[in-house]
Amino acid sequence: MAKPKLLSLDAFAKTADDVKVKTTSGGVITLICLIVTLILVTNEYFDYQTVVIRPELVVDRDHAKKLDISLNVTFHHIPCELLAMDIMDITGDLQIDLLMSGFQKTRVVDGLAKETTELRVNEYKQENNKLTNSNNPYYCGSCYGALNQKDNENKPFDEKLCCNTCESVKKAYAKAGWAFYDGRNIEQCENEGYVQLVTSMVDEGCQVSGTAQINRVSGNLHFAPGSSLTSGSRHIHDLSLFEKYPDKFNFDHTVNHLSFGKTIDNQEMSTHPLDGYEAATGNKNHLYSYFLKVVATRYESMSGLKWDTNQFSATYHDRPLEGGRDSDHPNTLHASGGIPGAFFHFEISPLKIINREQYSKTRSAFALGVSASVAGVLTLGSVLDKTIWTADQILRQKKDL
Amino acid sequence: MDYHRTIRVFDAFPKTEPVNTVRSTKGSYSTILMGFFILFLIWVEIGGYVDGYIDRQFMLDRNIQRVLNINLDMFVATPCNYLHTNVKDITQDRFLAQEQLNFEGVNFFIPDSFRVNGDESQGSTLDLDEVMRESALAEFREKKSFTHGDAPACHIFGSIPVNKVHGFFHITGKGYGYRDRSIVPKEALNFTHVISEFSFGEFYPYMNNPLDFTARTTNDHIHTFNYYLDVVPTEYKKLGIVIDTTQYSMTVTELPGLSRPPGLFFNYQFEPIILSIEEKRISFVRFLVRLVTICGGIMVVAKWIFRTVDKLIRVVFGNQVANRGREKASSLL
Repeated sequence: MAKPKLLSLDAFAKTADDVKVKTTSGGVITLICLIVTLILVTNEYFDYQTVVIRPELVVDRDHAKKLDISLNVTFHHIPCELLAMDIMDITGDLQIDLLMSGFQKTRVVDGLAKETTELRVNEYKQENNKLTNSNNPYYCGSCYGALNQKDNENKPFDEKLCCNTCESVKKAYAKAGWAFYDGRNIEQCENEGYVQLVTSMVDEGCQVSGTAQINRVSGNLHFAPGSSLTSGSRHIHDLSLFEKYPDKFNFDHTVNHLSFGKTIDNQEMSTHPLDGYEAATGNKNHLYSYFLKVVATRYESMSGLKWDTNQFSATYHDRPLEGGRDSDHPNTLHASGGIPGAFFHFEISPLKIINREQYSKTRSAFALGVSASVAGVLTLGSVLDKTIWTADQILRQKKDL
Repeated sequence: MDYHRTIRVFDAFPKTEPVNTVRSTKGSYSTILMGFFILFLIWVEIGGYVDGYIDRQFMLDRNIQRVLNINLDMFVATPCNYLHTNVKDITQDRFLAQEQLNFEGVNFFIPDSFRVNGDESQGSTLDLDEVMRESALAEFREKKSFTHGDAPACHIFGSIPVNKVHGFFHITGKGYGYRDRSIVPKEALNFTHVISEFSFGEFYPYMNNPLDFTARTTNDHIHTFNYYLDVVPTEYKKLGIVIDTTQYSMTVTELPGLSRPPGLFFNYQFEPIILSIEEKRISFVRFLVRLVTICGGIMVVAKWIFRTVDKLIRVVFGNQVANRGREKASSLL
């Protein structure tokens, strides 16, 4: 018969029960082994449960994607009406005066954002516009030479070039590259109360917040005083009002928030490293720059959620516009010229980081770990027990002799 | 006695009375052999535990850093009086390196061990232990010294703090590229140079950089060397010591003639991603588990090997040979 042969292969040969001996020491060792095993298995389990972040570096293959930028900056000493924000990039795309559209300005009086008493400049003007326009349906305001209104006489009313509101005069002035100041002596602005508004605001600050979409190429986002004019490669801001008050206005600011996409609060992520950064010199003609390098990042959480966002690293720099030697670093010679303002230059990295939350061990590694530690402890226990028992036997034999 | 009996119940390791077990010379040899093997493996494990393992990570630079040093030590085959050094970057700042570096007139020669004109390129990157060995911080002893301005060559050394943005450090002849009171006679210029140190960040003189101990020669008076350096911040960590330094990759181009101002141009830019190389150790408990597992595993395997071999001997040579050297007594296994 085949059966006995197969039996002889038994690797787990057992000892017959009647020759087995149980001892107290064996019991104690078993208990100790049990406790140790339990500790090891718990440890193994906690190891298995620990979530670690494994970064992976790939080349960013997404194309035609826009970069979301969300921003919240407080300028302590520059009123909202004076502040302009533009985004420019190397493709030549230009988003001028975003403060008029996608972004919200909040007046800051004595260091506090006046959310409640906020009077949006635009609303204020619209209310007053109605008054002017309702008086005369065929009203066509003068642009004071900023636009060519000579041919207006021969045109039907619809095609006439008119500056009916203070806002449109301001725009015409910006287009012509003229100094607008605060609108004094411009009929439309005087009527609308714009002059008083601006004058009342000179001691205020401004908080800017909002989001915009930009091309994924190098570029800059900047805050500067006055409306901007772009012709060819030149980009000019109207500094007339800024310079009207030599002892007021400066670009001291606090970056409350700046991120490119969703923020993730994590020790290993750098989605918003600039938050809370304060730049203040008290110097009126001063240029603040941030050089940001943006790296696309995907964060994959344990629960399977995926967020595509961006991380960035930042370098800060500031210089007085008059140039010359830096007071702290006497060997640095600053360039002179430029406009006062705050510039955020960004550069896009071709790399993409994927941060993945993972258990530090796989399930099979955990199973292996558990069985290995159990087996190991038991084997060592049996050896220890056998040794003690043998020693005990020998001692007893000696005693008997 | 009762108490003993209760505990005895738990004994999971029933033993066999020595009368029922058999001892053999073969068995004891195997036991000794196994013992040595276990000792050897434990030794290896302890070594591995002490050495740890290298964990490589990368992350974005969260610090809002402003300045970083360029450390350099080089020789140029033009008299110091004729040289103009400067740093320019995209902030449009100019760093007047001339005022911070040391210039010392010397005789020009290229040491033997230096790599001339890029031959025998050395492709190795430093490993953690090397970095730790070479991590002696230093500072240049002098600042702003200028001696022997008319000696045939110039030894330029020192550290200059630059903005951490894309920029370039350059050495040109006076009057070339910048307005100057005098234009250097063309015949006096020669931008053959020897670099013994060129690094970014903290100055670790013993750490090896791609440009260290290199030389480039030219016979022309008007010659431009362009170095393009991509700098990657790197963090080395071991046993609580953190070394914050940088590595860079490099490309060189040469332009003869006056298409650009003659001289040495070091274009540098910084990568946003930091490499972090850290030596880590598994926890002590896990180390113990490994030791226990290894010992237990070897014992079990050894037992089976012994049985198998014993069985084989029995089959091949018969019981008589197999039973040689046997005596009744207990054994360890």
